[in-house]
Amino acid sequence: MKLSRKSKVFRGLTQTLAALTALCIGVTAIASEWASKVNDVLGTQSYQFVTSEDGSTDTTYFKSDYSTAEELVEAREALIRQTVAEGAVLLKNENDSLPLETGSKVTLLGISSVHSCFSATSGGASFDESLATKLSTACESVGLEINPVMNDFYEELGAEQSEVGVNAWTGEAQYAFTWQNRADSLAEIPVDMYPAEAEESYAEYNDAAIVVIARMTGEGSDFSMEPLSTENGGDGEHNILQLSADERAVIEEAKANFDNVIVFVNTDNMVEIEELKNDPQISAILWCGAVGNVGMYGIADILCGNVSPSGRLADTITVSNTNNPAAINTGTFTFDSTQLEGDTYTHYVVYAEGLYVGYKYYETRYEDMVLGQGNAASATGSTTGEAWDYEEEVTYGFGEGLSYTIFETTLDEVTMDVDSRTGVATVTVTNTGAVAGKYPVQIYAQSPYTEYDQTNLVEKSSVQLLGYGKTDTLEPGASQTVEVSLNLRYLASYDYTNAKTYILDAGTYYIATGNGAHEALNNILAAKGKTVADGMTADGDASQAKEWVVDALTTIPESETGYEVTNQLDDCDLNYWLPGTVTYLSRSDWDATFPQAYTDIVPSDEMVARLNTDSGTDVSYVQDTSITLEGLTTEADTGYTLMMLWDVRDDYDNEMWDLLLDQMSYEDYCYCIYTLYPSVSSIGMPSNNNTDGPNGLNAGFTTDSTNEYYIDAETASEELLAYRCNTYPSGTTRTATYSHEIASATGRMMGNDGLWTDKGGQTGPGGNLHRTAFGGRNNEYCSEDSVLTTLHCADEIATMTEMGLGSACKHMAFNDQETYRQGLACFFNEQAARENNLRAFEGAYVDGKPLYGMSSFSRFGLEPSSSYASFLTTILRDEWGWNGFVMTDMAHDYMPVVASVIAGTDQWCAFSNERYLPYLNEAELEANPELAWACREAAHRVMYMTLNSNAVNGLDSSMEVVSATPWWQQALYGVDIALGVLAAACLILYIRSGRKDKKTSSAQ
Amino acid sequence: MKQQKAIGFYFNIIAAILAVAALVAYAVMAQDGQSAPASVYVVSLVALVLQVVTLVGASTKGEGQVLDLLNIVTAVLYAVALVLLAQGRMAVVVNVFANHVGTVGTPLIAALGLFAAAILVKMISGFMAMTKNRPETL
Repeated sequence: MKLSRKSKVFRGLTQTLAALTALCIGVTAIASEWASKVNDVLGTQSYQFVTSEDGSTDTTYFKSDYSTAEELVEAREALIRQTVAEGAVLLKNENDSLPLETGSKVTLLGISSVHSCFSATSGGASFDESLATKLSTACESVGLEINPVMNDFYEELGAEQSEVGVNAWTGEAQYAFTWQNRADSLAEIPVDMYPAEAEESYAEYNDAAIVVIARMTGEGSDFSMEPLSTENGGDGEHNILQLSADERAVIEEAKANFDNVIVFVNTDNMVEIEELKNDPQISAILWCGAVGNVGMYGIADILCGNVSPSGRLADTITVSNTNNPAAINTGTFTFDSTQLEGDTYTHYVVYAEGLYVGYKYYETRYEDMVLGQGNAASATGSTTGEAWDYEEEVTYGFGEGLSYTIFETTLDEVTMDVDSRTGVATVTVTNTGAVAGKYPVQIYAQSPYTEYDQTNLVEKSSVQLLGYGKTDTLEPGASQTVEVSLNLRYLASYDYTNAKTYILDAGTYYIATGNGAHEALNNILAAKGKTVADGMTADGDASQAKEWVVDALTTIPESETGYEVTNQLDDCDLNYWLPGTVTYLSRSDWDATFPQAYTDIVPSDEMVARLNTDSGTDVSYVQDTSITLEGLTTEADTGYTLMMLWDVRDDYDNEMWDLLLDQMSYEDYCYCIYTLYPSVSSIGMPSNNNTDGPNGLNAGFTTDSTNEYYIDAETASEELLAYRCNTYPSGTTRTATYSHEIASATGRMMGNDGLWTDKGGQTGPGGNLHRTAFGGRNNEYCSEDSVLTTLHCADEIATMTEMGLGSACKHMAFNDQETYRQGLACFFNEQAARENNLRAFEGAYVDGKPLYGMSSFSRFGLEPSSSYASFLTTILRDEWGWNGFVMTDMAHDYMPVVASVIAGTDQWCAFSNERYLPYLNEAELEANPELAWACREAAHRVMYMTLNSNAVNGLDSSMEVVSATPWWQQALYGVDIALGVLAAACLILYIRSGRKDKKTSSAQ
Repeated sequence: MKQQKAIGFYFNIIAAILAVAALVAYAVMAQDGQSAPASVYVVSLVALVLQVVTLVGASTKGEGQVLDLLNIVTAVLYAVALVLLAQGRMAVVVNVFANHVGTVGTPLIAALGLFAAAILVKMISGFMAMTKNRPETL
């Protein structure tokens, strides 16, 4: 028999259409599962609101300060400019070489004058450099004349691109700028490539040379401590945070041709610049972290003197970044075990530096050297190999910075009250110089280091930032009295071995002011009668330090919520698992306790079992079988909707929440946990559409006209349609302003951004610490200091919350390095954790009250952050009294689902629910009442966040949420049906045609 | 009786090889903890068994409507396997994008590409005869 052509066509069509039908149904299923993400991309929604009200009620609960997006852009760019102008730190200014006079002819040198550090290179900030204002443009706008020969040369070469790899997804070659510094390479243009007419142009634009040195990195990319190879722009001897040979050559070129050489250090990762500080031919050094899209105008304002610098360092600039005790145990450390497999199980770091991060190390060792105690002068840890000497270790200290004018300060009064746990320092600031400027008052404290402390391993920093406040712009001769609020929360020490709670030691405390931690400490030492004769770097001013005496050791066993504070983190100490392994750095003996590198730790079997978590496994979780489902009501018909709780939205414990929760089903509870931006129709809860931060919302203005605030897609300018809100200066730059006003204004501006982008939350600001200068995300975080971080974050968050923008201060906690961050086991003692890493978040959560939070990829000891109840429930919720919901960092296999929800994780940062369905469903909740109650609480927190966010704008109390099928889903269903029908039709036609062929064949 | 093979026969063999290559490539290249869901292997195995049945049937008895229907089912199963593989690793895809680790996605892209090629070849084969003669029984 021969098959007719017709039959062959029908057979082929049937086969093709059947396969296509299967594929399309699959695509439909996947797209439906990922509906929230698809909706996000296409601007659609899977629900709609139905109201019985007539629309006369004002339902814009959170209002923008701006009536048009253009006004918003103008205001936010003015704020960014001001932030950079107040956050940039003048470190050196010999012979008043800055500011430059208007009309000065200036030569910009260095490829980073074009490819500057505008933003991070990855993470939340998908920043478009081409939309940023360059330094040359900003300088010209303030009346400086820029050398066009060199500027054109850098612009031209800076635009060159070369292939850097292949896109794993598309297979297409990827290109990047040939001459641009990256996380793993430097690309300064060699001086011998400069154009022939360069020298002539120097002569014409000779008032100053500004050499720009920049470093940029981002999520997933720590800077390496290893020497940078010649292939990557190094010399094989120096690491990437040291000046490269080509950069040195540029500086030499500047020195050879200009009398006024200014170096602009533009990075959030502190580059070693001791040689520039000591070089008499370098007139001035200006530092600033990432500047955002228009921050270069702020730099220009400083260069030309429109603004007197008032920023202060948020990090210590050390002579050697690798000599920092924290750096010794930073990077790659792998368990020596054949029982552990995979990167998320095998890596760890030991925080052997204990309390002594950043200036706490340098200043404390300095004091002990002056006081001749603790073997501080030992050569151990010394950069030179000689006796330890502060001036050989620190280039510029924490909190330092210069101004164009002169300020005199008087510490008028300090009051401290243990009962209320508060204090106030009053400082009068007088501008005795010739130009107007602001001054950031910094208040530091010293707590006595007692015998009790030495016996019980309580460490004390010789100086600790306690608070700050900035003056207004003071005209020459003007004075202002600044009251700085102090919180004893940040003065208490955590005694993890004896009292097992916070303590205030008996003895004399010093509250001091100074232009940075070092000067404040010198003032304290002066009050103790010490002088340069004792080895001080400079004489202090005893009048700038006040004594406060605590008669007897006082424990502070309760948090401000009244919750008992006691050890929670014992199992995060490696010594808990392997006794005697770690020696933490102690000022009792700097020589004997200086950290060693803890390599090749051999985990015990119990440790291995604890480390081997996965979605369904966590040996540390044991179900509490005493908990029953009694009292847990679901699917009740109470008739309540979320908006009916508007008047009690701040009252997390109000019983009305239970009425809503009673109305939900188990599936609703689970849905809130495993779905990003969930909306729940049974209670009329809209989706809260949050997005990544932390340097601004990673979003553009919405064109959805159903939103109260939107731009018209038809009439808006291209610039406005392309505008992104992730363009703020880095966390470091913002923090270096030491300005509560700027932080509050930034939070409020981000809140406005949220209203205009239709986003109810952003994951930011970043609250992790600059444990070392090498951290990939130092640009997202604020500082090496926990108090500066927490005060800054609290200010930003409080105003974001006021504006209805959720802010997830991230990543709780210990995401201080990017190397093997996923599943990284972090070991530390509880004092260091509570006074450094957790304190950085404490004020942010207690005082800022963010609507949600984000846990980290790291492990607290062996337990993933997502399932570490001691932090997520006991410390975060019980001690700190915070009520928002906790989201994981991007969900990963090592995060155990059930244990995490019970520990206090409320939402998974994942766009697909397939991993969670086996563990979070009605049957599982019925089988595990503890899980059922935890899921209900998680839903409660998600609702609480949503009701307090701008997601409720436009809703009223009669509003109901009903499911809707967005157009893309309808289209997919249509295609599925059409293909299916066609396939079936072809199959029938094929069978009929085949029979006909058979008949024909038989007849023949 | 041995049948004379036509071009469609070889296209089906190529489709089967591509499907096997997709599975092997993914199994070999995928990193720890990123193996394909078991359902992908089950569905693929059934598809390959059916493919072998149709090839053997066609080469010994010649093709007919029953084998044609089996070929259609095989094509559908290849498509289902591709969808299951993509669906099962979507979370990984998101992680990969979020964490900027492009190399992790390479095995998945390779496997999906090979599967897609297998389906395309299979679709084309539907328009072609597998054997030069067509008995009236199968």
